[in-house]
Amino acid sequence: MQGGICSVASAVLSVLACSVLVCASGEASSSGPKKSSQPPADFFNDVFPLLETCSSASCHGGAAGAGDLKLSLFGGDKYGDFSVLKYYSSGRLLKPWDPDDSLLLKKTSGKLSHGGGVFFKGGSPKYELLKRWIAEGAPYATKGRASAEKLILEVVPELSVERAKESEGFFNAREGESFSVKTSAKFSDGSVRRVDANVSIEGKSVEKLKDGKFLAKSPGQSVLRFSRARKFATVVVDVSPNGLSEFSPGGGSIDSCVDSKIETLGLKKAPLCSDSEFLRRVYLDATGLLPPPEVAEKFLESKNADKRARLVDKLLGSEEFSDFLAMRFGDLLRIKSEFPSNLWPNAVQAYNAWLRRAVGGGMPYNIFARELLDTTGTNFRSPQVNFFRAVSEKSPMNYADAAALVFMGARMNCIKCHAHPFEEWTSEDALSMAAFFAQVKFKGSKEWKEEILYLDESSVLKNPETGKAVEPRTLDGFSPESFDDPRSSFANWLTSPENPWFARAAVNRIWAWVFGRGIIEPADDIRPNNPPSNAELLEYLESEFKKDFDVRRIFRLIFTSEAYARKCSPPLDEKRADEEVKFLSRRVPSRLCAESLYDVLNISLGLPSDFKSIVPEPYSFWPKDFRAINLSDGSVGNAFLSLFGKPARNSSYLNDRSNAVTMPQVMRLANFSSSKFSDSPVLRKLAKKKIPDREKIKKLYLTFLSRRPSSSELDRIEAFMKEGGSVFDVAWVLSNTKEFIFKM
Amino acid sequence: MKISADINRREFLKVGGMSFACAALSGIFSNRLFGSEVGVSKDPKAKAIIQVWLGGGPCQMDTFDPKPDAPASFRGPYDKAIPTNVDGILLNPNLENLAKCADKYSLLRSMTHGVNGHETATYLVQTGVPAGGELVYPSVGAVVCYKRATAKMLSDKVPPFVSAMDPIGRFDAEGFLGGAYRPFSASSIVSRKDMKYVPKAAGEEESPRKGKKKTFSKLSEREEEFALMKENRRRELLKEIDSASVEIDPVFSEFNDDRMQAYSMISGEGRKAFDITKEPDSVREKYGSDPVAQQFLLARRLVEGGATYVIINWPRWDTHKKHFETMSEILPILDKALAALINDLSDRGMLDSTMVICGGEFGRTPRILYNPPWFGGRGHFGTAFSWLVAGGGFKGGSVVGQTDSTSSKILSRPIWPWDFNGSVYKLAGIDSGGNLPHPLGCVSKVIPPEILAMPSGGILKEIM
Repeated sequence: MQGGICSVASAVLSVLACSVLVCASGEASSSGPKKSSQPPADFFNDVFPLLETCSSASCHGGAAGAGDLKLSLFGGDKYGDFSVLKYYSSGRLLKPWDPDDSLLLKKTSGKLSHGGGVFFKGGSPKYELLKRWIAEGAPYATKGRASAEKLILEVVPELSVERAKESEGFFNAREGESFSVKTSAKFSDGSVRRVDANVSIEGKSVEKLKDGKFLAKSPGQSVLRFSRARKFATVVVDVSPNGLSEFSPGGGSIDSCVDSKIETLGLKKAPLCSDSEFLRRVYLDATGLLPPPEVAEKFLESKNADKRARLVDKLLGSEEFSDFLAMRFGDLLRIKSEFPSNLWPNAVQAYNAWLRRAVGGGMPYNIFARELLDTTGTNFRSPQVNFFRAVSEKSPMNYADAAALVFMGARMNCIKCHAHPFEEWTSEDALSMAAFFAQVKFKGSKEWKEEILYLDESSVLKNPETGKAVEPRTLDGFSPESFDDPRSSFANWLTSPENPWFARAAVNRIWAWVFGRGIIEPADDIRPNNPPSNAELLEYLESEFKKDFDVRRIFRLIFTSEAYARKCSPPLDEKRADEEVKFLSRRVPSRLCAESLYDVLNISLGLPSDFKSIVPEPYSFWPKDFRAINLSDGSVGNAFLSLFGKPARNSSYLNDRSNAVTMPQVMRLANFSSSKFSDSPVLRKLAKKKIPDREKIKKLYLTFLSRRPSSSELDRIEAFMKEGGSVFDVAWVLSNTKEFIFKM
Repeated sequence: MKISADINRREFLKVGGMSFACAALSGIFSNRLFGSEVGVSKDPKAKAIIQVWLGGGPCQMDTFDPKPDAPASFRGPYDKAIPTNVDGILLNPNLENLAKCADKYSLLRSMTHGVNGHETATYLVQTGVPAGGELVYPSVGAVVCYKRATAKMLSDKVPPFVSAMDPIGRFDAEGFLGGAYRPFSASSIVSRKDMKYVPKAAGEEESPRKGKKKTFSKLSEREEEFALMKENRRRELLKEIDSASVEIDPVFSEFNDDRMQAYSMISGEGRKAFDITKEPDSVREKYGSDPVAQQFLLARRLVEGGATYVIINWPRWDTHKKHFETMSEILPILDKALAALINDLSDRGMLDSTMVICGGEFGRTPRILYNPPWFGGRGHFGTAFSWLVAGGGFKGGSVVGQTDSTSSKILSRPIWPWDFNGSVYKLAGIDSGGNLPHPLGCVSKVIPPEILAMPSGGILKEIM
């Protein structure tokens, strides 16, 4: 164990160990008279929950285990762990003939020194349970005994007041109110019994009291996460301020959902942005570009009441919108010639042409997904098959990984190797997902780098440990009854209206594209125990999306909402600054993405773009007015683009793109303007024009900031020009302002 | 190369398990916390590293591993090798300057990995990790800078990680460490014109016009003053105009800090490190007049200024066609510049603390390809290639490893990319078992555990 990790890990451990101590043992039969004869204790039901925390990464679950004892990470392999305990060191851990002398009991109760600390004292209910299990011969499972299948939470408020619409996993509380959460498990025989579970709280608005009680301390949202023996459950608690008289459930529109959440949580709300702010914002979000100066001028002058909605319609129908959307999908699909996608230039062109057509023609997203998932043929002529080609190493596991991430927003990276720390998912689940793609095979052709995707019906995926064929099954347990091409079964399941992942992942990703964060965050880490910050909002968007799977419909709803048009503002309440952003009561600036910044500068100044392919052949050429947004290949770019965080298309994760601000970027912009502005035909022309300086300044403001200058700005810059400042200098200044570099 | 696939899952867990210390913590703690100071030496032997990247893959037998006795269909015109100032070490005849200082560097003649694609081999050599794994790994330079950043060992005057002039394409040097560890392109502050050094012929005077065009920095003092004044006036205006927009977000205060640092670099101390026109002509002359040779000088200036890792990116070595013509053109440039760099560092007493490493992603096919379309070129060859290492804790005057009579096979002491990079980490004071911040919240290692299952010749203890 080393350094920082170690200290962090042990901090977690001590928290967990603590809660183990607090909880009573096993199944606490809270109701009903005690049965005279207890069922025999077994590992599966009784012991495993007790020893759960032992298998954390910093303890016995780590690579080398701890103190010679090595368990599976996060208890992913129950039977394996059982065998280890039972046969460890020729049975020294468990001594049925003298249970108290068992190493397991001596260590956990502190009779012998234990790096993981004392779990329970001798004589405590937990100790007794373990002892009984050992004495009874330490069986793995008891025949006929029901096992826990699901963890169920029931929130019991102390006050009975009117509450907003609540569904499972969500609870509204008022400031100062206390409530308790009853944890029970549903067993395989259908019975539901009370059990104890560990809990952790994310957020500051709820505090844990004793005896399973919680206090709604202050307005805000907290997430309570419960776990017991690899079963997990989550409840989101919204705490309202005391003064709120009634709850108004949201629904029916983005604004109703967002406003109701803002009101429920007692957040202040920023006003709406100005026309010029809206114009620039929506242009950048829809097309990645700035409005041409003449468009900006016209829009600002227009007195039309619905000019914003009209602008949105115009933008959604534009080629530039499709270009920008195709770029975003290109990132998602990892379209790239070289490592790690290795599509090579031919397939990149074919794939991108297909993508651009699909996006431009408004192909419904369910058909889009289906085509990518179940096409066969050569990757030059059936470009959709490149979905499977664009993985770092061709294997069913990687295909499943890509399909889950792209279309379900689900991350399989953990469970490729070990059990998921916060979900029931294990490596078995990853294998079962991979089994849907076991028949996908590639073969070459005589054409250089061409590959043909075909299905090998005889190919089955085998479990590397048991050697048995793996049946296809999705992460949430769906398995097709019969199938020819299991991929098609997967696509059918995925795109059916009832599917809980597909629409959710799509709208959440679109939301993240526009707002910089998902309603579920990270936007591509969707799973049962990562709840949305605004469930009604997500549900509403999903239902809208399912009407026709039209991506533009979602963009339109967003762009025409008030939530979108809220002003960028400093915190309205310093203490709740982050919440204000999370729940959209105000907006915050974000840096223009790499491609936008590069294109906007070149277009405004009339300068040529310059791209390089890292693949030397075939020789590639881009016209001088080619836009970075339209680059189809992740292997093509330039130093400017990579400096500003253009994604390398190494993975489909949203965080492959970086919008962080770094010093070299600031420097690059300052130098860019210094060195290239003198070549700008636009600026040269403007400099020579026989018009007053004030007019020139106005033109530059429209060009770079899409607005008119204020009179004080005009005066100040006019004075600067009188003292010898040139048009080039003013352009330098404007293009280095935060207002230019950031989307406000 | 398939790595993870070849190791069965349990095996993998055994080696790799520790790197998943992760998950219990993900979401609870931010990645920043994982950047522990542990695993960084505050007083490393190699305080700075200059990597001369001969991109495309230089031919081993035409550079550091000459085979004058090989058949002509292999050696081509190089039927001689020249002796050096160290007994027994021979070099290609084009490397006469390097031959005079062989005591200052060592040659690694048994580098190997067997990968013949540029992108995968570049990735492998730069990161020490085989391509195709779960993560896109950062290069050695990014790792060294990341680790030293956590220990607050980086200079704030010049960028710690610089690529002269532009980053190596074909892979992303920062890997999963993200944009902050992307090498800074020297081209964003130095113009290509500045890198041009034209030796003055005797008696010839530069016309002022010509001179002005050639080198931006070669301005008269008055001109320089004027430019600075103009610059300051613009910045003043920017400050006023910009403060008019409210300080909305923390991101802006960060931005303001970046701006201050950037501007001081453009016109302050940092700028000087990048300005090779400040070097006397006699020094510029020593390195050679080719722009790429001047990058060697730039690298030395940057290291003097406090840079940690400087890459000289020279992508001329992919000689499928016209191999020998190209060699006779670029070998002398390499010879002069590299020898000048090593001697210059040595003269300034910097060689002990500055590591110089020079090589490419692979070697080239020993047998010359005379058939069309090559007509006398060499293909990619990952089986055997050579690197030169000097300073920073590496001893000089040695040869490590041996290839056969045509440099087609490694005969002794294979050096795998992880052996090489492990050696660099060792001398740079980086614990190769230390942690890196995993992009999804897991924990990853400087050298990932799956490497333990790979063949290895061990780190280069013999020349440390």
